[in-house]
Amino acid sequence: MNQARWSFLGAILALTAAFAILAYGQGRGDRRDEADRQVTLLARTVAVVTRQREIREDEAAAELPQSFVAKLGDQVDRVVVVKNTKVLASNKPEEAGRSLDQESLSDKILYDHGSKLKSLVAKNLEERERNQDRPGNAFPEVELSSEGDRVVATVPATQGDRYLAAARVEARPTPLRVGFPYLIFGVALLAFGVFFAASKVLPGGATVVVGAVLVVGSTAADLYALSAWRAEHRTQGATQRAQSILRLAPLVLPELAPSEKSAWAAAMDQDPLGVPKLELAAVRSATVGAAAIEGGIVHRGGSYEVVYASDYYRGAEAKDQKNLLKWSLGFVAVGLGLFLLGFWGHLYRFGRSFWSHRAAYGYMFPAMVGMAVLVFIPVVYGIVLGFTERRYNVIEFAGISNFITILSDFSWEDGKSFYYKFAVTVLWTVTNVVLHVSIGLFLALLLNDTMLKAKGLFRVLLIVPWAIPNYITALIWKGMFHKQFGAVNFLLDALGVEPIAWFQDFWPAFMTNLVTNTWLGFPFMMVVSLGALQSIPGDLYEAAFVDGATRWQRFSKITLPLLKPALVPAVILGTVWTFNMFNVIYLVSGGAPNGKTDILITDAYRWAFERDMYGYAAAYSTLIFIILLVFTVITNRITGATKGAYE
Amino acid sequence: MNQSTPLGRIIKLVFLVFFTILVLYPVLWVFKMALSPSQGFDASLNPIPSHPTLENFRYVLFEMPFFRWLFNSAMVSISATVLGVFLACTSAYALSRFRFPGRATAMLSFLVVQMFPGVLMMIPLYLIMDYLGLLDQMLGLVLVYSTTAIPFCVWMLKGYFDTIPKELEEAALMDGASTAMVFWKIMLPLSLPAVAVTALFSFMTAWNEFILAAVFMNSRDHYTLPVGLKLLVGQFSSDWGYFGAGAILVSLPVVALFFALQKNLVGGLTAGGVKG
Repeated sequence: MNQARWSFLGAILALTAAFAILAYGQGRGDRRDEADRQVTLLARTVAVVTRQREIREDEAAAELPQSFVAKLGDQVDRVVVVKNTKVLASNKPEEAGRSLDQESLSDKILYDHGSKLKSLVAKNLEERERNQDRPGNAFPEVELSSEGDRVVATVPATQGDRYLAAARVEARPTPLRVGFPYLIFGVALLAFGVFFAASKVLPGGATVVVGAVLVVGSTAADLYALSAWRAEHRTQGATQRAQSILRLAPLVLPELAPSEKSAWAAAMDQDPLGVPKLELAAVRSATVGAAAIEGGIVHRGGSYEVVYASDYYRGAEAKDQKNLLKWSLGFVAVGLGLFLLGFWGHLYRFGRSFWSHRAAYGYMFPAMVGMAVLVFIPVVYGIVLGFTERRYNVIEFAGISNFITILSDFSWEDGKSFYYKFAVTVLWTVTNVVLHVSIGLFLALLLNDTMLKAKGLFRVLLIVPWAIPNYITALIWKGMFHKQFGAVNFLLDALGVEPIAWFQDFWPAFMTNLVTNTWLGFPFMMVVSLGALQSIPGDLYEAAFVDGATRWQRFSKITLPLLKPALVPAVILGTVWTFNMFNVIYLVSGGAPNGKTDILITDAYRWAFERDMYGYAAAYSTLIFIILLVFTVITNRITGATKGAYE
Repeated sequence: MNQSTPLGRIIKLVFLVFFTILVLYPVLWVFKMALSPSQGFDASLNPIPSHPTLENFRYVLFEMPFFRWLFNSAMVSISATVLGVFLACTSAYALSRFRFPGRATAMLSFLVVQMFPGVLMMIPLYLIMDYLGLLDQMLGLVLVYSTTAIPFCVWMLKGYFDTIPKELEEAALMDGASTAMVFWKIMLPLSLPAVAVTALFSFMTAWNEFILAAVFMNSRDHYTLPVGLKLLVGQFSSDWGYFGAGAILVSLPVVALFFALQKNLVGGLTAGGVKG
């Protein structure tokens, strides 16, 4: 029963470690979320008051931040309202009314945040007008950052749909006390002990069942621990927020007009992304929902009350459990897999044989450590990222929604769907590889002539493109295709053809990429073919010649079959390289016109670094990876290209 | 087919000359840009500059921190090549000579990670480098370049090692040599052509790599040549003269190395990884 025990140990430890990592991440996320929410509440309050004062053109606007700070004690470091380049109000009297200094870095950041929020407000307005049927699908109107325990939130103050000013609060929010659900380790230990006790007494089959039950059971207990732990965070966070609101209410509410009062209360109910949580039923005397909610949880302070809908706690808990359940199902599957794998002795035997093959592993070890840290982990991380979604600064688990979004877009005309890019990529790869191989092989045949003088010179000159860095090649060719000054158009002009605007239509733009990459890629195929040709014994041709074979017969019956073993792997390699050829597409056509000549890899890059959607881009890359993997496996099966390598 | 008639040879020569012109024209064009005094394009097909000057070279060499960047590039590329090829050699030796559990998996994984879109490894790599405190450090680039080059190098070298008869080692072992001695004194010297080609590829990859270097290196003093050169094109987008001069200076070492080792290329490639 040794194997079963060791595999059980492995499975339970792996599960526990996974849960601990999850808990650590959740704890950090909860703490940061709560801090962001608290400071955003303050910033929103400042924004609402600013709006009110701005309408009345009240000179007293400058006083508000000071009274805030006085009321909130040492929590708030700085409150500042900036309109374009002017400081409207600040908690530091000397700051109010001054203009921003272009030279000062902190002022520059203030100004940048303001103008970013301004453009976001405009963008969201546009977005709302365009899809009125899908509200809430907007960019978050908040700039958040943190340094240590200090959180900075900047939000826009708006009048109707018009941007007025940016309200910025820098504060040290009450920290959420996040312990650690140590029950997780207790459960692991307990399960471990029970199994070891049971495995001595029970027969083999029963041990497996006990082990499997314990894996599932301990996962369920871990799930419970995490869920209860998060419920505690939520209660703690909500209480802290209620206290902030209660401190703000007497300060703010008397100043506001009735419509502003409910606007403020509604703002208190939104998360930093601006999504209403509907958890806050009412701030009494500034009612959001006028009807008092029975059974709500009430926080009192002075003559004000903050009421949370009790549904909030229940609903959020259910959502937490659903999320955790998703993770846990994955964990259980992995845990059981590890357990069963181990039970049938693989892990155990691996451990034992490890020692007997220590020399081999010794040679492999240094490279494998490097590969593990800098290649395998990034690849796995990249794949995992495909199952997440980033909303402002929080990475959330998104299931397979990225993949569904990518694969369910069948539009063709605008050239934005995955299928369109895939078609372009296939066209790109096939045309390139065909050209590389045919030109390379043709030149190799020309050069493979013992009588030819200066063939060494030709060979050297013809591999020049391979030697030049390919980003330089790409930039050179981009210049060559320039409409007014490019050499290609001069040549066309000399031949009496009208100059072409290469980057305005799909086919010319595609041609620029193709020409560049062909220039770049054929030398590799030429060298491979040449090497293979030189290894073909001359006697074969002589024998064929004596037997009366024609030139074509000699080529197709001798040369081609003997070239195949060298060419097939080269073609596979070339296909993979071309499929992922980023530099040429990105630097030559740059996707022009309008992204139509982008291939999958450049589009994935744009999703990640131009549209800031890492999860989506990662899902995109995973799909590219799968396509290439399937391609390689299939061609390998058919051609047996790498068969010899494994022997 | 290795023999030919005089007429056939002339036809071949015509084709070869034609292709050579196609290949060399863009290169000549860069030389023309680099040697022309104007920063724009010269509106003619003639690849010979009308008023040659070395002003662009002088600017790139002495007005920019060119030698600093050259030093960075050389340090990073050479270290990455030495480290990467050494690691690849030991791994390839194990894969070629030992049979051990996980061998097929290791080889397959070396093949498979090649297919993951490199650009997208950037985010995870950046986070890992940040975690290890290796951002904006040459050591970071060295580690990344050497490890990412390993899979390709291993496949090439393993293929070449396979062609070296085992009897040689067995004889040495009989004579009392250790496995380490066999590796250092027999395998490596015998596979020098393949090691040279592998080293060439590693060096070229490291020397030419642009994106990772641009993302990882923040301070101007730590830039490698490609990043510096791109800065040139980005900053003065119409300064094609400077770009041409820079492109020639950056390409020169790697082209020279390439030509020095190109005799090995045919043997190293075909006997190596790209072999049946």
